[in-house]
Amino acid sequence: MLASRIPLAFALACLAALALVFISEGSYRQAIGTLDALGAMGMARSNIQNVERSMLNAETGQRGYLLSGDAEYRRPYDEALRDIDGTLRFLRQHYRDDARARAVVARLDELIETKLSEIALTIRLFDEGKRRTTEEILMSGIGRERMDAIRALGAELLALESRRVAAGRDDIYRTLMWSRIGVAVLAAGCLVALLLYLRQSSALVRQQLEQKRRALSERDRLELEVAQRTAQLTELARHLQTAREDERSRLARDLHDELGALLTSAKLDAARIRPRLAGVAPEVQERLTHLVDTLNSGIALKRRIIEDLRPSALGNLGLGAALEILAREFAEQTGITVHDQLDAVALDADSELVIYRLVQEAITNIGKHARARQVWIRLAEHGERVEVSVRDDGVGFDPEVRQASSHGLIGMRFRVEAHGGTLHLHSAPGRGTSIEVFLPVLQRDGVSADREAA
Amino acid sequence: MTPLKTYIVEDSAVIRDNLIATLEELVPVQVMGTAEDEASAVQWLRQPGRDFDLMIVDIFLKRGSGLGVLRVAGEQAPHHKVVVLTNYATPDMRRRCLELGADRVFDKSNEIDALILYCNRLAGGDVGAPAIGALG
Repeated sequence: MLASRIPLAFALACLAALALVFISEGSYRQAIGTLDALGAMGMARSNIQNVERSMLNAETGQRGYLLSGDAEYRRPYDEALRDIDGTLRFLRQHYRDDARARAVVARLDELIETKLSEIALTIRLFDEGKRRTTEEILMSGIGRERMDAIRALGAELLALESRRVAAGRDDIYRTLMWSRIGVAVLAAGCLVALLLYLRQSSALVRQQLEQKRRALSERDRLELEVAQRTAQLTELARHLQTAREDERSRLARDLHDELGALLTSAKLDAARIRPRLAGVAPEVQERLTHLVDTLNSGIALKRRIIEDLRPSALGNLGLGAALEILAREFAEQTGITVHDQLDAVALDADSELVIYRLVQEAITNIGKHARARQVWIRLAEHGERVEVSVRDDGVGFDPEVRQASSHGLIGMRFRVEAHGGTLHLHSAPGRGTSIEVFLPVLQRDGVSADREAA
Repeated sequence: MTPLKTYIVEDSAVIRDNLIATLEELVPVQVMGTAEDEASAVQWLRQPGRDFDLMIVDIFLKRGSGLGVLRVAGEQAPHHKVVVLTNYATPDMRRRCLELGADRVFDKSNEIDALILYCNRLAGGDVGAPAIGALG
């Protein structure tokens, strides 16, 4: 969102800057143009005045000359004749676009021409010695009327010029005013835009913070949920494990007590029948021997199943003795030397079973995979904890690499943790394997006294 | 031949009844009494003037253990014989029982004949029994 807004804001800012430059440049040029025009108008004014002055000079020169006859007095007339042409040309040029002024200039031109012709005529007559005619012309008052007309036209032109100057000034004022308004409006617009932008970006920041906060709380919630689920799973695993062990235990007890008693009873019956058959019916005795063999097979099968279901020594002889038996049987079966150091420990029945199964699983793994020559089994109590460790000098493995048979290990870890304990596995290729388990000791409340008596 | 005064500690009624019947049929015995658990067996043993020839003890009882019974019987004057009849006759269990003063250990399933032979020899005054578990 932020990313899409920045280029837009940037483009708007550039546009505003361009508009500012455009407005200021435009008004500057217009004002310069108008000021130049005002300068030209000033020149036009002085030229209009020049026309009047030149005409006055011409008349003055005429009169001086006519009175004195001295050519020296004619000089202002000669100068005026020289100046007036340039001045009139300027005025014609200056008013070429203004029809009304152009008409005034044309009439002025005409009047001046007439006046100058009149002056030139008097001078020529005076030079020819016709003084009388000259005086008549002068006294007729025509010259004065023409002069007044020229003055009036000059005044009209001046008034026109003044109006043009006023209009030019108004132009400048207008231009400046528009420029002022434009700049002010743009500045205000920029301020508003900046304000909007700031407000938007602060809203954006707030939104991002809110999102972050929400993500964090979501994560916390998920973590809590994971912790709860893990606890539930651990509890469920413990429950299932207990239920399984209970079921196995019940099954083993039934097999042992009920089936065992039936089989033993059958054996006793066979023992009672045998002497009665002695020497009477040899073929029946043979069948009896076969029956006893069959019974023996059933008994052996029953034993295997029971031992598999429940380590009978554990409940009857205690953990130490049960582990000792387990170790000895393992040594006999595999030929691996087993060193055991099994202290008496205080544990509840469940934890004892956990340790028994753990050691059973560990030495089974050693027998299958480790190719070990020696195994060390240790059971000891340290303060609040019971430590059990199984170590071998076999081939070991890399614990980082997932083993195909790692279910047993995961199961072991789960069972230990479900009983509030910890499991540590140390192994490396060629360095043997060691499993260490710590479990909390039984709170001593007299429960363990029973077993010690047994 | 004097009947063998015998006491039986066995928690399974089926086995107990059948064992008594078998012994009475095949061996000259006089069964003095039976117990189902450790406590009543020990109580019987500790009664003053107790006199018997043979005690047959099961290890796994409903309450307590035959090992406790063996321990108490061993403390008494050793003129009687105590044998173990168990379903759990592992080498280790045999060793423990013999250490606690048992004369012989018989497997409930496979050594019934050996037990009967032993009882017959005992009744006949022959106590020089052959090696453990010689008969199946």
